[in-house]
Amino acid sequence: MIGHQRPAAQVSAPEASSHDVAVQGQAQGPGNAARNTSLQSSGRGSGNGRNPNDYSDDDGNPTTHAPVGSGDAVQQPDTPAPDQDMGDRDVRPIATESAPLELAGTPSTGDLYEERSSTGECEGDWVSVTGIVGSPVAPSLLMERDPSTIFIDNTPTIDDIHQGFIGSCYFLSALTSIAQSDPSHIRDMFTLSGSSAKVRMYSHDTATSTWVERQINVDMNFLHSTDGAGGTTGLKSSGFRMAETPTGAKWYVDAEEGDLAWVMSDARYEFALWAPLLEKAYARFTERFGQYGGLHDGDANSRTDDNGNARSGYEVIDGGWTQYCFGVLYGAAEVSNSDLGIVHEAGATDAEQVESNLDFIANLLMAGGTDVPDDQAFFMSLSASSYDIAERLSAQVEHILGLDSVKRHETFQKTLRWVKALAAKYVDAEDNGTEDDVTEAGNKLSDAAARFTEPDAWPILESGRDEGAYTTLRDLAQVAQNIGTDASDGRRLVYSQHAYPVLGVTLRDTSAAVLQLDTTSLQTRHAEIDADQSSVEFRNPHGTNEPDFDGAGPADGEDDGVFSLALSQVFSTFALSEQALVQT
Amino acid sequence: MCRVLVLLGGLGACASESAPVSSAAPSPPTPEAEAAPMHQDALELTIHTKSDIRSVTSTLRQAALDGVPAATIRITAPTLDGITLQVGGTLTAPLMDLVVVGDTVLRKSHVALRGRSISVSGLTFVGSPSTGDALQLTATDALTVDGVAFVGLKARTSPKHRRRGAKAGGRALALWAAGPQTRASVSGLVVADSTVQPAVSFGGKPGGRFDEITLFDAVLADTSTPTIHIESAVGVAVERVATDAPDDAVSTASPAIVVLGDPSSLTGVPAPLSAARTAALESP
Repeated sequence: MIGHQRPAAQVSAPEASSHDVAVQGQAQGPGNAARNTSLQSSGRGSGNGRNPNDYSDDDGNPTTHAPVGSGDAVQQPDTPAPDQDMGDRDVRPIATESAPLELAGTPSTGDLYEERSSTGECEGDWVSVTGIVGSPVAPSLLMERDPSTIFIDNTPTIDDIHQGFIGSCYFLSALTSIAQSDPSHIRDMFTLSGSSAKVRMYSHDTATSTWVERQINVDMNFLHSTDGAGGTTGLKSSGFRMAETPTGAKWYVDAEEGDLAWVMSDARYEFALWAPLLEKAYARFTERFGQYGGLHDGDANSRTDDNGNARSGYEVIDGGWTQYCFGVLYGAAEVSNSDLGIVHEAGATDAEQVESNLDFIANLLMAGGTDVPDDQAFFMSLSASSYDIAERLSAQVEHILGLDSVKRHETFQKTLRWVKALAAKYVDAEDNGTEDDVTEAGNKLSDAAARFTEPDAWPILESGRDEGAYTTLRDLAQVAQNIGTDASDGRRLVYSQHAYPVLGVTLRDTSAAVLQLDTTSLQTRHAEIDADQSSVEFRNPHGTNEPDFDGAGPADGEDDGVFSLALSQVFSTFALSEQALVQT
Repeated sequence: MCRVLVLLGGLGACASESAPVSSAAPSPPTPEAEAAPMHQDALELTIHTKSDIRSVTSTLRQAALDGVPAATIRITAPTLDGITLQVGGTLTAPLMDLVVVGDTVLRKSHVALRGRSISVSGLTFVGSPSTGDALQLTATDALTVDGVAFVGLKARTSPKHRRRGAKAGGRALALWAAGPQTRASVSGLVVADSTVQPAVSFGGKPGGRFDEITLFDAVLADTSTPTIHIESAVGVAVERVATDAPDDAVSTASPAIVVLGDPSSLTGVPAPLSAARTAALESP
């Protein structure tokens, strides 16, 4: 749809105005020259000090802070192409660029201009034109950001979160949980002032063991990658969503004698910029106070490089722990946090896996709101390291090699042993090798694991035999397949080294009936839980990249990052849960 | 001290061959941070094999819900591989006083206990677990660790992904204060041949802070520094802690022990490992 729109204005002011955040677009139509300037960096050198320190990406290319427009949104509204009614006639604009019609809805043609047959000589405000491009129903549209808000419908939602190319999944996982259970807290963190925002975060005073409120100033320019030659190549920071419908528009007709008349709508849309703003504010915060506000420094990324120079906050926030973010976001209102291992034992029955994970299941129930007081919220995020996956894959192969059902499948056995050996090499590389060793071992394990994920390659993997030992192998192989890749387009389950916020859990019995359990009754009734029938709902902080077993797209047909896994799959493919309880 | 001597003499070999250091390093009395008191109605459970862990943790969970105030877990197996023993993992569950007593080598294992008062003794952890800390203790009142060794816990080289970022690396020993005046006493500690960093950490959970930390009779050898990280505490007393960190760097802000916040809270300093070695050799 963007291709049919009116030219875009790319504007460079570090102190953005309402026109600063504009469509990146196509030069067709009037008025371009005055507004179409190139992007410029608005980093710390811009003088307002509202961006994190300068930052180069993994390829050594500098990054830059620049405004965003509708072209940067994860998806644009579905808008019709402008109508084109060609032919000489006279028009008399009623709404002009200098005196536009302000309207939230759709005007009538008569609100915008009058029209008559061509007279050959125009008097007064009448203009002789060669055609009219656009109409009130399908105008030539310029989509601008509504500068009055950073939310859509004044409410942050999980749909607004779209991780970019910084390893901030753990932080965005925390934001997802808050957006789901305590969205007003996110709203309350912001104080907007023109083209900048103050974001409330908390640092920790170790001397007094208290949290100290901090206001982090950020502007509305966001981190972009560059091509190394001054051009931007897209957002590197988190992305954002824009509203489907405008909150208002300036309507007018731009007509020049002997040329086309354009029916214009400079429409303002709400951009949900709160998530990338929080990511940027967090990066700034960490430069001054550390990744977790001064707490947990032993687990925090260093604020300085090997030479003692200050690093960019974007580097400081690159990888971390979800549970430690809630202190920064809630301060003293954080009640508690913890991490808990998710137990998976190759060969154990589903019932045994359930019994081994009762505390974990209780936490899942709380993440869904069970047994959480009204004035509190419980947040939960799951992950597994690549190391976990390699070890579990190895253990599962070992278990399967001992089963009678595999005995007559010699080729399959050989493949199993091959994969097991590569999994062991991967573990050894992480324990004793260099980053290159890990990359090489990861790629080899990925390639080998893919042998188990090709549809119909090994029918036994779909058999469900031996307490689901083979389907568990396939699930682990799906995860291992992507150890060596960063964002596969093909078959996948979940990514290792990636944080997934839990949205809820549904416990079911063997007949698929929903079990109404709480954290106490779970203890006596856990034998009723069928781990294959029960499910856990997640959202990938990418906002996409859901499990996709055959490479045909998300199972639910919606590519929004939200998906469910069977509880039995959760046991096998996640290894760590992090949780926090906060006062709301 | 004999087992400490074994560790000093051959760190790599001792990991798999030596018995746990539960009887090493006799501990002086520490009235401020005694082991968790035993209750008359305390529960006693035993782990003989890896397969006992599921039922033991489930029983402990039920006991906590029933209001049982305390439990003792005895680990009788000489060696356990790849176990995960977690107690008190539901954040809102009632807390118990927990005592874990063993004479056991735990390979690539994860033990995480959360309670009011916790006491752990007689465990030797060899190698890092897949995920998490080898030994993670969270208590509101008191933590006591005596005769616990960590050997061969290596920092990992994780793959780099631009669109991921969850961490999983763990420490050897993580001690968390979950109360405003939690006390910790660590004695007979050995951390050797390990590159996890920090190997040992003392930290505060929300609303939690160590009122007092005592650390004595400890050996930190062939470890990456800082080996011990103390986040926040009112007082830290160090006695007879030996480290092979450079002698001139052994101080209140040494690479061996780092105290955040107020370093003056630290009394006593680690001694160079050479002195400890001498003392150990002269010991009966």
